[in-house]
Amino acid sequence: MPCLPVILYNALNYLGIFASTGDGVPRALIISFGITFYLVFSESIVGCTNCLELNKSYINKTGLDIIPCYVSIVFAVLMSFSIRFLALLVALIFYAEYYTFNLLYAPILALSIIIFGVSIGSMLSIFATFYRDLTNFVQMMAFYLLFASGVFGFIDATTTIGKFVTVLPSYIYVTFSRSVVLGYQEINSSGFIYLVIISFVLFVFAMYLQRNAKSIILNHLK
Amino acid sequence: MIQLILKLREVGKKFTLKNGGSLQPTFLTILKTILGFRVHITKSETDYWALRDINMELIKGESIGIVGLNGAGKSTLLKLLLKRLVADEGTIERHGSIGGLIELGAGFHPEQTGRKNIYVNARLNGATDKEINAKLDSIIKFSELDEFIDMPVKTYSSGMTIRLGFSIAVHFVKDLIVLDEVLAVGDFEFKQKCHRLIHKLKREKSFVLVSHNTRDISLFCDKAIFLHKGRIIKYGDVEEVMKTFSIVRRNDSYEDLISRIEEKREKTPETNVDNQSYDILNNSSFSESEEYRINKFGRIYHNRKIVDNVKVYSSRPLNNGELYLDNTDDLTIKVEFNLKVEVSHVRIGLPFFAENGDMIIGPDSRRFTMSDKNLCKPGAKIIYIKLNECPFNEGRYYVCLAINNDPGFLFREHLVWINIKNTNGSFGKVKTNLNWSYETI
Repeated sequence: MPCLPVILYNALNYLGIFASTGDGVPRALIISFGITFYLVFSESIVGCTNCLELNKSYINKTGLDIIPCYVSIVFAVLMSFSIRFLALLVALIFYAEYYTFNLLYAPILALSIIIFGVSIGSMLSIFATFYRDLTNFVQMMAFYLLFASGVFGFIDATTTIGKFVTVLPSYIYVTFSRSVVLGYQEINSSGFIYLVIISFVLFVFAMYLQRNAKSIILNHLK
Repeated sequence: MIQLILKLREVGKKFTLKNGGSLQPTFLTILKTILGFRVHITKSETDYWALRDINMELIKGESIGIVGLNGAGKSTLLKLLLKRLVADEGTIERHGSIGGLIELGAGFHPEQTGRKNIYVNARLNGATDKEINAKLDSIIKFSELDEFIDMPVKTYSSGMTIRLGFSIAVHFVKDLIVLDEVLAVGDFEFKQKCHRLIHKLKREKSFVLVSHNTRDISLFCDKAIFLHKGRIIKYGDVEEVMKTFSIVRRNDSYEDLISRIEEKREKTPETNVDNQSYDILNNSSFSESEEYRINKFGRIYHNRKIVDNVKVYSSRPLNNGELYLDNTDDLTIKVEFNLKVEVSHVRIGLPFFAENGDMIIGPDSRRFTMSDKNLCKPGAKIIYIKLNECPFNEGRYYVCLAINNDPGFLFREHLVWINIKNTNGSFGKVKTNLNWSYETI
């Protein structure tokens, strides 16, 4: 098990899954920006899935509402993203041609990913109240999804695996955000709006579920 | 101006139980609930109403006590008040800042220091950093944790944790403080300090107090609620509620309780001591098959078919073990029992306790029954105890019976309840014969 991620990465690399890394963009930038956006995605989902379990003492004993727990995850992920993004901006000194105005899209794209991740995570957290192993499962899935999110390069959508992987939300959000920020892809405004709309619709749905679930969550969160 | 703090109307809280007693809902139930569909209980489930038809109101400066046996729904009610549970029916109106201490731990982070936890808890109660800094010293001083405040909370004892939690609650909750049996944990001095503080804050803040100590409720509350099996049995005047609660506390059956509440009791004049009897064993929760139990003095009392036919008689009418007296009345109690085997010695104790369990007097028969050969032989025995003018003032007392032959063989904690009315205006729990005199200089 400890070697599995290394074996998986090398196997996928050997199979040519990560062959394409964009239109001549340095691999270091592809991976760095990919990981930055992917971590926003995974931290939002994992953080929100775990947050009720982690904060149950406050919820049960101080009467802390459930929603602020999710809000705290949003702030925590935004903070982590800001630090990573600032480090990336410094690293771009070696790739000065990538200092473009497109970098300004990054916070908005990250926020859109966070909204999506928090929506999914908050839904999962309801079930995690009853099935505690779900938190471990989500954590594990978030790790292995890294290899199927285009972080290490674009994936050929014509293959059987590619057809499946390229429709995953993590792949769509990560590759789109990275392409926009690094400017090697035309900014597709309709695609961007589409992603933001999906995030918000999902968010509204998640809040509706939360409202209905509050009673059973409080009954069982011990 | 009267300010309403809390108003509950027809409030109910239910839990769905599986036949095995588990609270875990099925996946389908969770899914239906969160999607907003109506959930019908299945054949393998039952709805358990932890609370039903709860109505109460509280205005600012008023305090309410909640009493009830275990499982009555007291903690569930407090959780509803503090939004830690959501009511399944009815409405709860809350006005102003409400907070409290209903569980040990008070929501502290065990790895953080006491000081850090003060900040976190106070912020959760809506306090600003400025307010916290202004009150920090006072909180630490009240909790008596000066030396330990910078240590992680996980190193604190339960008493220290409660002290800190209580201190934060009284400093930052502005309108209504909810306390669930928390004072039972602290030491005597801290309890006294809390009592003084509650007394001082009573005019400016409201309290909801849950305690098994009826004295605490009588001291601090303006009204009380007696909860039983999730329903309000009595609501209103503290003394009335406490009286009902005390009757129930020594009965197992709910039906008994209801009939006793409805019962009208009238005081009648003193009669012959043999007129009224009360069969202890038949009216006791003490089971014949029960081998032994440990009484409040830590001694083992058991019923090994050594004693039977235990009865108590009183010179005043006994109504289901209750006596009603004036504080000037005389009282004779007769205890009859049948000793089935010869024993080494017999000693009978009839200590009198106040309602809160404090022993007021502890007479026993050792001076004339110890090693009395006749008393130790098998056969029916009768013991009399006479109080020449009741030595107690107004209140509710109980007499405890211990027929003892070390290590003992019968114990009955609530032999008779005595309700005493003050008719001569004296004060305190016990009356004494003092000779007063004076001289002028």
